[in-house]
Amino acid sequence: MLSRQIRHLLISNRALSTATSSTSGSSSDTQRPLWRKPESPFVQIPQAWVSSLETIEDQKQGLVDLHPDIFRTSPRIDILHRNLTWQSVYRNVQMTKMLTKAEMPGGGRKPWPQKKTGRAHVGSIRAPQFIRGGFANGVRGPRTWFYMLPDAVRIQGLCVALTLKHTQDDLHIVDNLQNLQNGDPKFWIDLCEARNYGYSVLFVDDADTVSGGLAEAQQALPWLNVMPVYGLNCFSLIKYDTVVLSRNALDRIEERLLGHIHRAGPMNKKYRYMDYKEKILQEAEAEEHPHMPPVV
Amino acid sequence: MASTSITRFTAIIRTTSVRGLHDRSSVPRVVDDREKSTAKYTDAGYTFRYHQQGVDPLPRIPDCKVPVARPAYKVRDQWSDEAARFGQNDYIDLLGDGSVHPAQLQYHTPTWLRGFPGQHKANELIKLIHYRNLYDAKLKQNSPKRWHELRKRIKYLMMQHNYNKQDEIGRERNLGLWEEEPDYTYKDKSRRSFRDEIH
Repeated sequence: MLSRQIRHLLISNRALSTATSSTSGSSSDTQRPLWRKPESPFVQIPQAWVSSLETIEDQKQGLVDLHPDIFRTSPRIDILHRNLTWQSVYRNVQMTKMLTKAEMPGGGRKPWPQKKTGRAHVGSIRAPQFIRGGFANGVRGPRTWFYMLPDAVRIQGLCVALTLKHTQDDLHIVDNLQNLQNGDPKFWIDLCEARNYGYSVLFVDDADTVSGGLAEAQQALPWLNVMPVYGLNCFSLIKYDTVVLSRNALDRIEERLLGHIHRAGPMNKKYRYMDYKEKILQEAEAEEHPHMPPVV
Repeated sequence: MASTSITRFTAIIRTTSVRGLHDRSSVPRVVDDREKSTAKYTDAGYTFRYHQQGVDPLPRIPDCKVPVARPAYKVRDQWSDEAARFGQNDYIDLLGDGSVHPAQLQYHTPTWLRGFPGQHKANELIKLIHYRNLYDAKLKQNSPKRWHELRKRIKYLMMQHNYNKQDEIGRERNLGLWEEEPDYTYKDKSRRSFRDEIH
């Protein structure tokens, strides 16, 4: 009841709400300034509870405002689908190479005379109509399906995925993920059960590494995983039932995504192989044989 | 009148059926067995089952102990290490500090194809030209047969695209492999040929 009152006040008046929350003794997380908040009076500010992972029960510590440009975008399922399709396809490689008539060994001699044998007129035993002949229009590997979606589509896909997670109540915010006390898998199973996290949980933190209880639990439980912020992606957001962000991760995600949304350059800049060729080939120099070209 | 029409009808049936069965030219062929060439199958083992529900079981040899060959049953673990982290670095250029791009992280592809547009964008000819531009010297020196085969394939594809698929060759400048505008001062335009090496 109290929370509903607070939320109502928050939506109606920001200054009043801060005063209420400070007087009611809850955390002052709501004070978060949102960068480039939309000015429209019709835009609602989405909110989420901040809790802690030290206890099994969900003990709320306060509310936090989420940026409406990221956590309350229009749910463009089509754009999310483009992102998921791209993620599942763009790294595919097919190494099959079917040899043509010219690349098969032998076959240089005419197998039988052109006429008067009653047989077909052929010039090579490697012609494509022969068994053990070369292939016409075969698979000419190595074949890749690499392409990059425009930045705008990928950013919007991330925003849509985060919005969906939040509106479906599958996005949780915690204050801290580092150096947690309890690393017992039973504790984490009970915690996910008590908080109704569903089958799989993805924890996202700002730091590159995680230590403490969460690291031990992540070793033991295959459905519980930790990712850095830069590892966040549409596929994982959809794959995992619940996504738990730390406060730092939330700040960093909003910073990065808003920075890209409001950046100066074009959002649909074309991916050009030219721009990355030098760097990619330079990194691959160690894998190259000094004399032989790669066999493909 | 009626009898003549009936005989004519039977004659038509006989001729058409004989014509339908006719599968030999007038030239006598050498066959391993005369009976085999004359005795025809009238029934291919098919029985009509209009009023029978369900699916017929596949033909099996009774009491045969040899199991039917089929691909091994594979259990895919959706929560193995790779599957649980599938797609982890796909947005690293947006969410990271901007120093790494997903095109650089394609360690499973051959080095010369990392970040190269896929074959639905850059066709085989453009891919092979890229390969030749990178490894021409090494091929010539150490693997002359493959160099020769590569030359032949590129030449064949060049002719194919120039004479049979003229709509496709114009899009190569749009792939981000080369500059959008070709270097017109490279050679006298009137003396250009499809045999020119593209760089």
